[in-house]
Amino acid sequence: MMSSSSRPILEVSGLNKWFGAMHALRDVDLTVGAGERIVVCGPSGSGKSTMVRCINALERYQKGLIRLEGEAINPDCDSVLGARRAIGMVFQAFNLFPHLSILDNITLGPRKLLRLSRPDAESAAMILLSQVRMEDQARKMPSQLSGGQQQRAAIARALAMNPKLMLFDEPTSALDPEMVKEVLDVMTALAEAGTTMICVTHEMGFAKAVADRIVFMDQGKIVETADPTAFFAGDCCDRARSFVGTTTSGQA
Amino acid sequence: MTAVVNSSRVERSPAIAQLRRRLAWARANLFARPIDVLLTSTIAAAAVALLWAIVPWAFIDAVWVGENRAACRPDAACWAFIVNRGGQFLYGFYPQPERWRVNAVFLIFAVSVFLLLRRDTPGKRVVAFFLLLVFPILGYVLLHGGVAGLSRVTTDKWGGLSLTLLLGVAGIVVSFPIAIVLALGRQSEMPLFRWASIAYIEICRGLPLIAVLFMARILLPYAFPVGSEFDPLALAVTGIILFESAYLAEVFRGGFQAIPKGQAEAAAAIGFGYWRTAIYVTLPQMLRVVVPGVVNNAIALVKNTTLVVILGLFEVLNIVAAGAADPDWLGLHAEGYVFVGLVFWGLCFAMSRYSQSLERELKAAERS
Ligand SMILES: Nc1ncnc2c1ncn2[C@@H]1O[C@H](COP(=O)(O)OP(=O)(O)OP(=O)(O)O)[C@@H](O)[C@H]1O
Ligand SMILES: [Mg+2]
Repeated sequence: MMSSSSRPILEVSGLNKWFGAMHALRDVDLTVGAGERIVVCGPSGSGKSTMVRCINALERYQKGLIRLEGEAINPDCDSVLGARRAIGMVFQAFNLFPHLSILDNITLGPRKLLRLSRPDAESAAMILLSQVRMEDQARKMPSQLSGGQQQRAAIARALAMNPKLMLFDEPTSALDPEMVKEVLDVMTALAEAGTTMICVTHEMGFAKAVADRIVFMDQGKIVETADPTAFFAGDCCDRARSFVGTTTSGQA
Repeated sequence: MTAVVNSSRVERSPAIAQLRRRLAWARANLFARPIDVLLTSTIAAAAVALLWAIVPWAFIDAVWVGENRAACRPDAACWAFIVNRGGQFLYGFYPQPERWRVNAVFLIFAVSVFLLLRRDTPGKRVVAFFLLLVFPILGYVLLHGGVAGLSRVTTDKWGGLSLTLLLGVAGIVVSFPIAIVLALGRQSEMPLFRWASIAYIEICRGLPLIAVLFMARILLPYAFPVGSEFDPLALAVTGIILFESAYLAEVFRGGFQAIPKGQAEAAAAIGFGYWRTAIYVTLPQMLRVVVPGVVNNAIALVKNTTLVVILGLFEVLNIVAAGAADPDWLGLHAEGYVFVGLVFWGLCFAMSRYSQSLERELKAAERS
């Protein structure tokens, strides 16, 4: 019992990634245990998206190892589709399928990959939609919804595959300010329900309330890993401190 | 009493208001300045003169019934030629009692296209499968016969407008899946597949159809043993498919490029591989985008089918020209070409209107 619950869901070790000559990730190490909630922050271009995309095997990497429950993840290995299926991803731009209704967006994966029948997939999807408070929008098309609603639907779509780990890449950055809260509320509820998640965000209020650990990245490196209390107490390196200073003053 | 008066007043006043609006519109747009008056009256005079020349020839003095040239008037159109030969213009030399087979093929095609493009058809995938894979074979068997009690009608008997349409339909339907494969190949990460697709597209797209047809006629016999016989219709269809699939592939490539990269990434994030992503996410979105491009190609292709005259086929233009060489109707080329022109214009106009309404409907579907 003890050993299985302490086995990490995700292990990233010595991860290096280049875009041509540009060294985007430098020796990134990160271990995420079951039920852990990690918030990743850092200045623009620091490699946050790149790290998350490597974890989900959307990008190739040149050095290091990423393991999901012990299994190596790499875009070129056969198990990559299974790994992606086991990891839910929420994008900044929502990326809902515009030709499908919200319900079909959510049931597509379960029906085609998990081989659920349509009624089964739809009843499961309706439960997820009620979790993201969208049950009355099931039959609508994505373009009929607000950004906040689309992002909540996208969260439901990722959850429908029963992922072991959820990745969020700046899920609220493309939203109008009044819709940010409805998405953060859904994410907070997920966190409280024990979902393992890595969340790239600049929402420091969310980080403070939800994160078990905050990871601060700069120039492709993880320069700081701290729990929220220590992080916001400025109990860390100068760069992180000035970053926290700019984001919180920017919000005030 | 009062009620009647009231209602007639209510009925009349909008009509008057509308008339006033039209007059005001004309004054503002057609007769505002002296130069507008001049332009408007010049164009109107030209239109009247044109009608003055055409209407008596085409309608007032025209002859509609008759058995041969003797019934015609020298100064007016002789539509009796078209009426008399109507069956041949539509079906070529296809034997009269078997013409229902031609009608059946086009009816099946029209119904399946309609079902496929209609919004709420259940089982669209079955219809698409039927149209792309079953229909070409079924259509050929029906037209050619020789099995299942259908008498055999060799392809040299096929002709007229039905042959024109057949070439157009075969060109689009058969090219469609080939073009999808080529468009996927062009973007594929497998080098051999990509190079082959690019080479094919660039070669076939750079050749005029007329050159492809000439090559089919003149070069192909050299490539095969002396005495090999080629069915001219098969050659024409092959040439058209070679040509059309390259063009459609480029239309499809444009459609794929119009899809944001995030779509394929979202599909990958769910765990979809290459084929599932293509089938459920990128292809359906691409097909919505390319409707106008495909219709444009279909319009160009229908007009291009007239080139199969090179292979000695009697598509509608050729059969009308042949009709005008018949001693009974000698020299009625003007009527023949006007008729063919109207037929082609009607076909192409109908296609373009249909594609416009289809585009509107697809846009509406994404919003509701
Ligand atoms: N496809 C790519 N090709 C080349 N360079 C890239 C590519 N994607 C990202 N980069 C570069 O890699 C670096 C890290 O980018 P990344 O998107 O991971 O940053 P980020 O921390 O997510 O920034 P932001 O906060 O702006 O989203 C940047 O310098 C960026 O220019
Ligand atoms: Mg980013």
